[in-house]
Amino acid sequence: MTPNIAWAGSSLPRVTYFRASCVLVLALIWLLPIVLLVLGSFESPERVRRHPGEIWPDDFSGANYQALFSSDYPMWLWNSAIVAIVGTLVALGAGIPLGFAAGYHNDRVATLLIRILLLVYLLPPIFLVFPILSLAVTLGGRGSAAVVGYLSGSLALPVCAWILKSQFALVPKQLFETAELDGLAMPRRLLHVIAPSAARGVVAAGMFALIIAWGEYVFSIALLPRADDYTISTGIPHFLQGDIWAWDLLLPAIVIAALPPVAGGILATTFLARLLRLSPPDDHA
Amino acid sequence: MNLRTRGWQRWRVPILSLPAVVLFVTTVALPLLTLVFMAFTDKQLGGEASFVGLRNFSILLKDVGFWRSLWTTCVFAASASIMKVAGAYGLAIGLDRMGQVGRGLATWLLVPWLIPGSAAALAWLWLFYEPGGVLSGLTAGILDPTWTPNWLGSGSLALYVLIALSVWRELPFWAVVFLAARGRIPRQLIEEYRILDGSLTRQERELMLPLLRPTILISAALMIMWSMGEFQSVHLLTRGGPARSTQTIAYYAYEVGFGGGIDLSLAVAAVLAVLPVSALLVVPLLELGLSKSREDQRIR
Repeated sequence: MTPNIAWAGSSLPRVTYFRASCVLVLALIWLLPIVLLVLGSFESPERVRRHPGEIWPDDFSGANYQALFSSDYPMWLWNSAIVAIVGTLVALGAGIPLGFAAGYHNDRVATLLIRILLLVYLLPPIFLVFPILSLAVTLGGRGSAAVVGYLSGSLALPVCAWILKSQFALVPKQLFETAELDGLAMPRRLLHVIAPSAARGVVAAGMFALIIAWGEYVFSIALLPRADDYTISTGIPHFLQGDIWAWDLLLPAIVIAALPPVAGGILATTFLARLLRLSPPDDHA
Repeated sequence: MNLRTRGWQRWRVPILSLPAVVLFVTTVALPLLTLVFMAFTDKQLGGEASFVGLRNFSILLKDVGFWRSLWTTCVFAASASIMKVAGAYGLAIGLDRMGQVGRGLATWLLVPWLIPGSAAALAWLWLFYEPGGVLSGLTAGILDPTWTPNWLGSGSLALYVLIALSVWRELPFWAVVFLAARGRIPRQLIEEYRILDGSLTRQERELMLPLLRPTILISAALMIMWSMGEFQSVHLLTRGGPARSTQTIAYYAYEVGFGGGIDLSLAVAAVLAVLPVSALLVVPLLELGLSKSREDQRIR
């Protein structure tokens, strides 16, 4: 007899429980490096420097985190925050109007523009870094975290516009037209009708842009060469210089650098799951 | 309709698209034009440029390092992409069959992709560092205390580590993309197929795989393209070594542009030269994926 195979949403038979267990075990192995890293970051500084491979801390200590914040790390965090904030604002500033035109007004030209952007931005950023560096030296802009943010925002633009297009397409047109008939002015219609309906997409797109900008590396390494201008991505490798590598600073630095994008990403995927129809069709009827 | 509304109707698309167009022109179109221009000059940082014709390309074609980097990049991109497609597809099936739990788990599996690339690469350096890295500690404890391979110090092993890092970071992301594509397949269709033929393998092969082909092809094209530009992990984990065995074309260009020689125009030429190779690999996949997608939409 064929086993009763259940799909998403229905009760799970025994064979599926077995497969589910396999996936769970695989997931635990997959995430093991991260678990080890977090554990290692609480190791005492002397021990982690001498034996970086000892993964279970003898006694949990926050000394590495304290030492990290007495280093240049807070400055790198600040620079990364500038890049991330500027990048997010740029991506949303350009993505919201474009997504609105393509999604809400169902405009062909705007949709075509998003498709062209998606295709052109397939180009890995390293391909653009040399001409951008040359332009930055000629026109100015080298050493500015805001310029790196602007470039990061540009990298996130196509996906942000696509997410926003999908969200704006879901905004009910009748609601907007009724508000117009009721005499509500355009800015108030945008604020009271469109904005609440599109909030989910804006959050998801914003989180995506933030993740891209926070982890930006290629442009930072080319355009922010001075130690004062390092972002976390370009700064933390400097803990591994000289004769003694500062693993005790590196491990907590990685943990802290990972926190904002992980938190934001989990939040965004909750929203994105619905936009991408990650839930089965029945769930969001 | 008043004059103001009519004006808005007419100009709304250009107005709404303007910020994106400005961003695109300043950060992509202009640099791309500069890239092409620089490849045919002897332009250096802050200096004047003179036209040198095909000299940069001629230098590159004679450079063994360039060809070796191109080969390493192709090996890296092909191996990593094949593993990502196969693994992500398998994982998506597993997660799909777990229902709500699977979808929740998918979010957590995204963590390696969410971590900044440099942080992930340095975490792997901590794992594979020799002597005394975490992995050698684990293998010594569990397997053989005398077995301590030099992961990042041996050419072929170092490339495997880079491929593994790329797969570790991106596989869950692509699994989520495939899972989303599975969610778009009408459940009724799956149920009908199940009633006709309960075999899961057949169902996967004859129903799901053909329907997911456009997503898989487009994703594979993206994976290859992004792998062709792999720089960060090479820069942080191996610096192209040992003996240039892990030098991808992006790292080669970086070395030429910022390393000992500092020849920016040559670096640009290297990057430009690799574009046709990338296009050769990616465009057919994209075309096939997009045409399949259009075909499916017509059938539906």
